[in-house]
Amino acid sequence: MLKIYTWPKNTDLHAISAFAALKNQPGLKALYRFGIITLHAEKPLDTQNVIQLLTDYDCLINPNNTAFSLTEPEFLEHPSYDSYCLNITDKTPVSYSDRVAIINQLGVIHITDMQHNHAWGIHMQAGIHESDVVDTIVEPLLVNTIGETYTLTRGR
Amino acid sequence: MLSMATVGIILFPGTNCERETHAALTFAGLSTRWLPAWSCDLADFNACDAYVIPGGFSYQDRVRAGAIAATSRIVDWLRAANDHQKPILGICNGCQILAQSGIIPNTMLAANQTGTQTTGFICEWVYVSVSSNTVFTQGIETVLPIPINHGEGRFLFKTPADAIPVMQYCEPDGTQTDASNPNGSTQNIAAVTNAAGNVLAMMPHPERGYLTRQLPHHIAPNQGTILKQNPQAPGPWHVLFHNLATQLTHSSVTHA
Repeated sequence: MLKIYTWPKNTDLHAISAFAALKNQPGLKALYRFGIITLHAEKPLDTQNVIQLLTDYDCLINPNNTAFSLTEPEFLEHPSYDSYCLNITDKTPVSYSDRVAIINQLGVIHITDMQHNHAWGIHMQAGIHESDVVDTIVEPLLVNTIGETYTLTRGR
Repeated sequence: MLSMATVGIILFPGTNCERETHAALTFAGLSTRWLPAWSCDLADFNACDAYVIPGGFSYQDRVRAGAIAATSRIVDWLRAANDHQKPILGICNGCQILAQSGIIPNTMLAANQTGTQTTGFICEWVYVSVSSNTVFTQGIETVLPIPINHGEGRFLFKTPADAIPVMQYCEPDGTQTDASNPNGSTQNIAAVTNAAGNVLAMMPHPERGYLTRQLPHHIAPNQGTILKQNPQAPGPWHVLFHNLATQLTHSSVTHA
């Protein structure tokens, strides 16, 4: 299993609008929206081949406008603020079999399955309780719990 | 003398169906007033007898469709109008905003998906069976053709009891099948209402079917004969706007 973190190279209007909509919530310092692509394979994937796939083809991301990292992005941490990673999953399972078939046809890597999740990095003023983050930031806007589940993890 | 009832058309950055909506309302004899979310004041808002949120892509569907618009000041005012049971119609993105805001409670419009396969954006004519349980649909107990045009139109509900269907996707004969459900909606639902029946949140576009000449040939093959007699012949969805006009006129008379 290998995780790929993706985010827009340009200014992220989703994050700007969410931040503006939540401007009255105390303690919110910054929001970052990103994607997590999880690749499953029978054998460990060669990271150089994965990087080649992400750089040379647009089957997973558009390399012209989307940045990626195979490790957690730097914006998930902050020296002064409390940082959180919000990982969102649709309750209805989604099949990516068509995408898996295309990737395997390219022959750069071979995978058995993949998932794609949306996620948010949240920076909060130090000392805000995690339950307040849920009550004022997460559930009012970033997640719709009718159709989505989420995990909220505290950064280092 | 009775004044003509006024319907407020709420605009957000990204609304793009307001002209057709205005045309359908005025064709039904209603007066309209533009209510831009970024500039209208409460007095303008409260002067309206009913409200419509047209289709479009408010705030570019940022975060999720309707999510940012639902946090706006004008939607707070709309909640108050709903408390007074003023008629409220949300079409497509307007439907998504009504769900996101909780005016239609415990409801979400998720990305189109049949089974485990995402379908992406859908733009086509479909059929819906209509129930007469709202002020907009009184007397319409039939199957009608209507266009859909959305990427996030799959109705989900917190519990089955939260769903109050007004329209359900079906075959032309009224049979509800998986094949006639274009976006995987729960119970084939295309439109819902609230407990009071004053709110109609619908994903299809009635403003694109209020005149016969808006219908494509494969839906209405004999429309040429009708239009020869009357180029402005009402289409199947004129009745929805006409019902609103009748309701508002009746309200004016009873409150006069």
